[in-house]
Amino acid sequence: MINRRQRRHWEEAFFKGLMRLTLFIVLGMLGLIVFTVVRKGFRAMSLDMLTQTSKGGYYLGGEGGILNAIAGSLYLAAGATLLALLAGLPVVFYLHAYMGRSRLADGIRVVFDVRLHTHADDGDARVAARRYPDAGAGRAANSGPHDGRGHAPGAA
Amino acid sequence: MSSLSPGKANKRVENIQRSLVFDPINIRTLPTSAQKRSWRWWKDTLAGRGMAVITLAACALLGMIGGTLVVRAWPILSTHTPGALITSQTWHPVNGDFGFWPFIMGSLAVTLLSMVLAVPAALFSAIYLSEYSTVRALIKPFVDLLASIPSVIYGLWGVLFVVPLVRDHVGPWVDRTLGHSIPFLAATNPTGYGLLAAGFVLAIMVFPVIVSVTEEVLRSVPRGMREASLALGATEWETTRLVVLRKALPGVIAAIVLGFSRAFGETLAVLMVVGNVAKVPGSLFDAAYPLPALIANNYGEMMSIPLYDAALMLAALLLLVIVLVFNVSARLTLTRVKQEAA
Repeated sequence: MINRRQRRHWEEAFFKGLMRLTLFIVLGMLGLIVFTVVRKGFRAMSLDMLTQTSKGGYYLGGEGGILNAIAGSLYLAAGATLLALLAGLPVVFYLHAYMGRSRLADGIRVVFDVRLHTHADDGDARVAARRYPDAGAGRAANSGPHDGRGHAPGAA
Repeated sequence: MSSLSPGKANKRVENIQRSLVFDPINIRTLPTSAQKRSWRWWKDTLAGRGMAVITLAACALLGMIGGTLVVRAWPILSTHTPGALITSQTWHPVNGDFGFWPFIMGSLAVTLLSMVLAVPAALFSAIYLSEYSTVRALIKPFVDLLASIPSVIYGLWGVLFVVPLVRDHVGPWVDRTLGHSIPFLAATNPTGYGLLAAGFVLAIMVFPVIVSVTEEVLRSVPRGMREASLALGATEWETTRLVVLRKALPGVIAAIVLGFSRAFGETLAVLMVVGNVAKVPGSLFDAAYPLPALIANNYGEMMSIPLYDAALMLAALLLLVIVLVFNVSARLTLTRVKQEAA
């Protein structure tokens, strides 16, 4: 007969083990992805591959490399980054220095977050810390480098 | 002073305090009369207006995308009723049949399957990282790495690893054991390309999204609440389950919804492994044809068929609206949760 204390103990251990297992499995998938790509791609890896453009009949096993594709990706990324910076920096300055704490600014942030499709947690934490200077030590200890320091009038 | 209400007096004191502290964020709220009309004042005003225009233009982009889709989808919306388009099963552009039902069901099936696989794993991982782990700093970067892998590599991995796995091992095994008694598991498709492969790949793709948002929400639960529960003798798991998760529930749901909208819109990786057959999937191994894959595969081809372009634009509009609704609601919930926690 298992008593209540033991049951709680086992429950704790069971879920902790389950959490470790899931994390292990998913990170194993990451390893598997890297492994698959490296194993399949390793044979083709050579200096020529990286330093030459593709010659005639490349896709039929001919000579040459993928320099053109690499360069194309780099040019594209560089151009896109430049354009994004030109448009993005003023937006950042505007949101931070000119609109600080209005509802409209929050709305605009939501629009950008939605388009980003992922989550920008540092920025949000920073906004929260500025807007709510009383966030307190517990939160500052809890979440990252941006909390509870500076930004709030009278915080120092 | 006697005529001021306490609130107004406080506000006034606050303003004075604010003007005394050097606050780089709010520096432009203090132009004194001497600075007005000066060169610096003009520069500041001009910069402000210019940046406001850029900001609003960047926001308007979303509206422009939606507007373009509506305009381009209009021809089909004016000749067919939206209800008929959405519920019709047949997709035969040459005959003028544009039924979106198989694609909507394909999208839903792939997304739901990926959520079934990803959500429990993501929640457990997020709880572990936020409540238990002493090596969070070591593990978190790997989870983030998972989020930064380009989707084409996920697709490639799906084709090279997941599809053969489903074709050679999972499919035959299920067929030997349960496949004949449960229609949902019938081995209908020997290629391996289908719902299961796509759902699996997609699950790994949305996993990091759900983990980071959930973990952030869990970490915003005040430490005092945990301490109170632990002090009453609860174990860590009991504290997590009965206190932390309960407090963080809206945020956790928002994280799941966010993951859902991410999965729903994912195109390339799914397209590479899902099989692309325009039929409502009936089994885990059936091929499906989600909305994003429909657009990506067909746009630019067969554009001479009347209304084809409009039909694809309608699919895009449908996708955009669904993803936006989920995304915006999740974001608003998260903003509220965070404000409460702060």
